Amino acid sequence: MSATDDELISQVLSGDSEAYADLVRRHHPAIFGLCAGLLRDRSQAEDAAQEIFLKAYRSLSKFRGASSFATWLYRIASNHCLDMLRRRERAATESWDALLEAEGERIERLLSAPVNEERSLEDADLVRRVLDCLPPEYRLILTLRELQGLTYQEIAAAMGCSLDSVKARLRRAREDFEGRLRHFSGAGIV
Amino acid sequence: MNHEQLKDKLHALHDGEAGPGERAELLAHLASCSSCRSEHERWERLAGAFFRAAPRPAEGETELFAARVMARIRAEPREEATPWAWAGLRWMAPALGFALAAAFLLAMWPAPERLAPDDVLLLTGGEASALEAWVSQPAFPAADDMLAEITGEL
Repeated sequence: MSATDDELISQVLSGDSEAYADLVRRHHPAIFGLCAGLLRDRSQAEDAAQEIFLKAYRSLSKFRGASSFATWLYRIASNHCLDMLRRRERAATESWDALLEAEGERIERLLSAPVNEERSLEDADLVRRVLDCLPPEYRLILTLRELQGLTYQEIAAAMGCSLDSVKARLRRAREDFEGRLRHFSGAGIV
Repeated sequence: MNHEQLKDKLHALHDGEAGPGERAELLAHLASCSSCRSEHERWERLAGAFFRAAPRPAEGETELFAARVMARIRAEPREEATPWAWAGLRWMAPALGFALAAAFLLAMWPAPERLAPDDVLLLTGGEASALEAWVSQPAFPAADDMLAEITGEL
């Protein structure tokens, strides 16, 4: 039977740093998925995930076990990616209006396409550009919920806020996103 | 229940956060209310279009990733990797340095020159040894004591 997260953490803290490799293997898919979903760039997501696991390793002695190791990792990952998104936001040159003007038709097509349809690289890039226009905090909470499937409780632990705050933030993020795309009819979009 | 409250509940339904009773109630409502149904489907479509999960990394990729992380960990200085018992007291190093520097400066600061009072100088009458002895005393003796000492010596 494989060791639990807590057992592996104890081993690492006792000096067996190689035990950390098992924690990395176990949590890499989720952390990489979050980074890829937030950053929408595979290479950046890979680099970010490495930094997150290193940060977690260096701070392992501060892990108190109040939440699960996975939630604690999500918290480190959320903060790290939020910083990256904020830097990207400051450097952004494309406004929402300019994006709508240039890519309105393609956004409309994207919204009308069947959900399971294979997506081209151009469409994936368009999704990234649309999401880049969202405030980083909204993007984070929507990604944690919609893409990672975290419960409200898990999001609250990952973001370090209350359950009510999660609900309020999610609602604001959704209203903002829906508001931006309200002009697109798409199938089912009014 | 007003529309705003319903909107929150529809989000909870979408997020799988509605309790079993509430879920059944909401589904029944969606079946009969086209406005709420359209609202619900609208978000489902937006989420489906823009929040599609990236493919999960293959096992080989995870293995490679773990190897890269561990290589970086092995390359790190030991003290960063191992949580020593006093690792939380690292702030003390600069504080200790500062304290040592302050102590050094204080030690090197020139002490104010101890000047003998004029009356003592006059009383010693240029008697260098008596003046030196007087100056080198840990505390200045009273002028009368000094006078008594000198006159006694004479």
